Amino acid sequence: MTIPVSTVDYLNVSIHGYACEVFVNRAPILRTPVDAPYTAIPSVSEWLVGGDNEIAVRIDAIAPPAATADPLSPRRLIVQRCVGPLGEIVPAGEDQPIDGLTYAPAPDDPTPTLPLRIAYEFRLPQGPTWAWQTAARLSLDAATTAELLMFLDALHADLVFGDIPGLLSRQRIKFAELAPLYGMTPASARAGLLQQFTELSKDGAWTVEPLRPDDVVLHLCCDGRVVEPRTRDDRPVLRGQAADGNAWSLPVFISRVDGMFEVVR
Amino acid sequence: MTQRPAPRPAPRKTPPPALKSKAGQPANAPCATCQKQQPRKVPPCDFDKLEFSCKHCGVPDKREIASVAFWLDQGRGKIMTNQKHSPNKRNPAVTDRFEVIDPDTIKVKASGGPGYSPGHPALTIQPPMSLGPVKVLRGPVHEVAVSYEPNWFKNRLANVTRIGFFAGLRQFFFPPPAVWVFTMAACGARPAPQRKAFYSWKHKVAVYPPDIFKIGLSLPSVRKREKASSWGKEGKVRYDNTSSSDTRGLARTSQSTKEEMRTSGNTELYRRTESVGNKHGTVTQTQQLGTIRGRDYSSDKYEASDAPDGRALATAKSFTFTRNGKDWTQSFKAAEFIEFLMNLRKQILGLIEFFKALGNKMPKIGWTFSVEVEVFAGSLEYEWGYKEWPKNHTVYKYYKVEVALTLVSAKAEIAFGLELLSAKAQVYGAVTGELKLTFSREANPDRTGPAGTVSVPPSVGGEIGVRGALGDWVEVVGKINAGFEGAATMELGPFSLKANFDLAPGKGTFTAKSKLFFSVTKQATLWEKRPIWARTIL
Ligand SMILES: [Zn+2]
Ligand SMILES: [Zn+2]
Ligand SMILES: [Zn+2]
Repeated sequence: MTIPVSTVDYLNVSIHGYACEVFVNRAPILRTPVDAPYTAIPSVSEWLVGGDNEIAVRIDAIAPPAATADPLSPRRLIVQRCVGPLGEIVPAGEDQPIDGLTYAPAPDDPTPTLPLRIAYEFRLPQGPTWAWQTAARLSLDAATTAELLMFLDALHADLVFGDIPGLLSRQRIKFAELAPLYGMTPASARAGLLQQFTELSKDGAWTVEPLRPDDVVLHLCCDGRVVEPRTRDDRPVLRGQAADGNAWSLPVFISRVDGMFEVVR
Repeated sequence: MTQRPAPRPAPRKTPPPALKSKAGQPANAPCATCQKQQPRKVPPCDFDKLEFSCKHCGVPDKREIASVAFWLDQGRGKIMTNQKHSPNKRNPAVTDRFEVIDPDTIKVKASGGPGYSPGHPALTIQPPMSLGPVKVLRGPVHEVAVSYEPNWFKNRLANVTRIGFFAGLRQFFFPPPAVWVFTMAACGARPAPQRKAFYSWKHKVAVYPPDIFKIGLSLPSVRKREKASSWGKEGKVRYDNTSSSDTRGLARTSQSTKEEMRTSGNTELYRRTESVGNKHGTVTQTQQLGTIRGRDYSSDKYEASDAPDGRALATAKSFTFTRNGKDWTQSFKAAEFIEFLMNLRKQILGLIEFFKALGNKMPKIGWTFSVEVEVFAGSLEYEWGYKEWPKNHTVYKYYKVEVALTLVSAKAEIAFGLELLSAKAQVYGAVTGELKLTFSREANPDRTGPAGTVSVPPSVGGEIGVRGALGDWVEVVGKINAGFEGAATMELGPFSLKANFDLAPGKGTFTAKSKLFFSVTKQATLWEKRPIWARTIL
């Protein structure tokens, strides 16, 4: 008997000396600090589509040259697309890159004009079509912004009141599309979220940061089909403290599907 | 000028008695005339000024001062002095002694005053116990030869074998002076209306040894690397443990490695013997690694070669000790020093055991560690001794140091599994730390700046990363704090070299980025601080 090994697409990101934002098909995946090395392996299957895909990096700032070069922590900008077994640890250095991008200007190259965008494209065979791909294109006019803030406020209220069924009802698409990618069924994922919430909110020790509209920045991405709300300092808008003293957060990506706002990622 | 109240006329210590009068009466027994008079009338006997000088005073390029003088100021009722003090606020003012280098001659001169009783004033000289009995010299002017302990060097050198390399060497770092006590005294009797008297003055003469010493260290770069790894796969029994050492860069040396492997049942014993040395001798490091019922055991020990005094010879070129230009290196068991350095190295290589213990907590992820260490590479020359300071009556600690020494250069490469944010994760990366002293400096007694201490922090590098299993992912918030910390501190007068070097705790703030659930941000300690060294090296 062989159990089919499910795999996941991920990026092997290793950046130092550049403040960047990394995108998959124009969806923001992560941001790096200019003054510290950054390595991470975010999984991105839910942002890849059948056909043409794009991985891009926007460089916003470049660190000044170091007084002494540290060969064990060099300046670099590497983003590789990899595939690996879901739920397994791929030891660092054993990633199997399929393709990727590297930014390594020569020492005498002129300083680029910032922000600098670097991108490459690749083709994947036909796969699923995600809800966000066909979602309505938004423009962040006053009416849409107000509507998005109302939707965020509803999510916020679900969290404040601990209404997990309410929260799940607004994440229907996300759970339907992501659970199979990450080895779950939508039902087991919903049960998992409820169990996690029970632990995080034990003894009623669950707090939710107030939603401050003046601190919410709506980032329009994926050609206008997806919105990611973040605070001014790029933190998730929905966040708070859990019973164990740690911080919790719920990053969300929102699309208008069939006329309704939905959490799609 | 210092102000010092003149000694009160009474009560008084008795000065050396005046000589017998011509009448043949004992000095202290009053004659019949005196017995009739109340109070007794004492003939004037005192001095106004007292001067101390050595044979270098007033000599060009030696001592600029002519003498240190003390005199009685009748108007102020005080003893005044012309003592000059160091402009360096950190140097305490030396007021109670005159400092010279062995051999020297101290001139003591009393002058002025109303005259003396017969045989007054008298100078009492109390040498250190080992340098002879107390002597009394009569008259106002004297030249006295002063010295340090004779044979002090050979006597101490003879101790070296018994007390060991370090204590043996430290004996020669600025030994304390031989203190001679000079007391010039008269009766302190003055004609009316002079109310203050000089009477008696006690002053010390501190005699320092004249020797100029020099130690030299010249150590080749030897990088020692230890590696250990264990990769296990879930559901499989087989584990692979390997260990290897390689040593590079030791010039003009031979190297041999012997490996043994014994296997019986589920017990494996691996023994590796490595010898490094040159034609004079070798230092052998033996490492044992065993896997017994799936657990790792290892040991590490150092052995000397059997060649008589082999290591001393082997290291003779590494360490040198001279006194006034003559080589005395062979009197020191420098092998002890080299052994000490190897122990320092071993303490850092011990990190691998520390990491292995971490890695074994989650053996299914597997681990690999390597620690690479270099200790004491480079050169150090330190010359020292006492010298008379030309500007006053003191002696200063002369030193001259030239150092380009890497005390330690360490690199740890790690990869191991642990539980982070309730999920398995891998910590990986490399950290480096280097404690290096590179400077040259010479004592300058005129300097008003800071004392002769040089302290440097380690230069550190590398980075540590964390990754979780594929799916949900881990993001490091900010930076993982990891690496080496500490300082190297060199004191120059007297010499000492201290170092502390520790592996800083691995700490960070991590967010488990969940695809479907709440993301959680937590501070976590990947490993606790691991102290490595905190010690005086020389
Ligand atoms: Zn008399
Ligand atoms: Zn002198
Ligand atoms: Zn007298």
